[in-house]
Amino acid sequence: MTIQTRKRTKTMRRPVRRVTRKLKLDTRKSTMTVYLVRPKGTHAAIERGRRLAEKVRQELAVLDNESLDQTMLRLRGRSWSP
Amino acid sequence: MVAIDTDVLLLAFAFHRDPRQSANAQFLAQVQNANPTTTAYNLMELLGQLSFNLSAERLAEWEAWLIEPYHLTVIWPRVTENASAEAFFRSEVFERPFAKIREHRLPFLDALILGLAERTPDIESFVTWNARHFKSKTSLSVFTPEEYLAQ
Repeated sequence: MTIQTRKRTKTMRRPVRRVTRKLKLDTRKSTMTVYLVRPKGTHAAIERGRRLAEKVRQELAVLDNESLDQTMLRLRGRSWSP
Repeated sequence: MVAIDTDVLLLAFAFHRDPRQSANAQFLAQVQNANPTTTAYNLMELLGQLSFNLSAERLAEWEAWLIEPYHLTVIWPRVTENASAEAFFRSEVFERPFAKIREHRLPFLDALILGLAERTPDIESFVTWNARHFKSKTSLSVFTPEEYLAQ
């Protein structure tokens, strides 16, 4: 009787394990909680981007009297400690 | 893939006399071959900071002047299957970052950024000039741009 019960339990466990494994896989899938947006990467987009980036650099020359560390300290607080 | 922190991107555009400019520029040039990424939170932190000095029109062109020249991929959080918008929002802006805040004593934005970078498949490294602060607080390898170049 005991042997039969053990066998039965073992048989019942198999599908449970299968379902558990599937659930784990599904959970991993559902925890892929990000998506990526890649650049266009065309020659034209890169060239235009470089030209605009240079303009942005020139426009931000007004920040030359400030420092990156002061700015990041303001943004991140006490955790900024390079 | 490499996740890049806000300070590295900020230095690419401003603080031209900063002594780290040369290493920063070398890093951004070299990392283009290693799928550079940044998170949506870094992006918003950067654009918010630059909004004080750039016109609204220039800010609106961010994809052109920030993304394309540096071949940056942006990481965004995704709503999980079967999750309501409310549950997603609570998990993304409260539960996940609060767990990191409790574990590592982090400010909110650091927790948001690391949380998103860490759960992005294939991200191995996080590059920031504040590497010392992040090194014990994430499963990612943390480097300064100089350390990354020296690898």
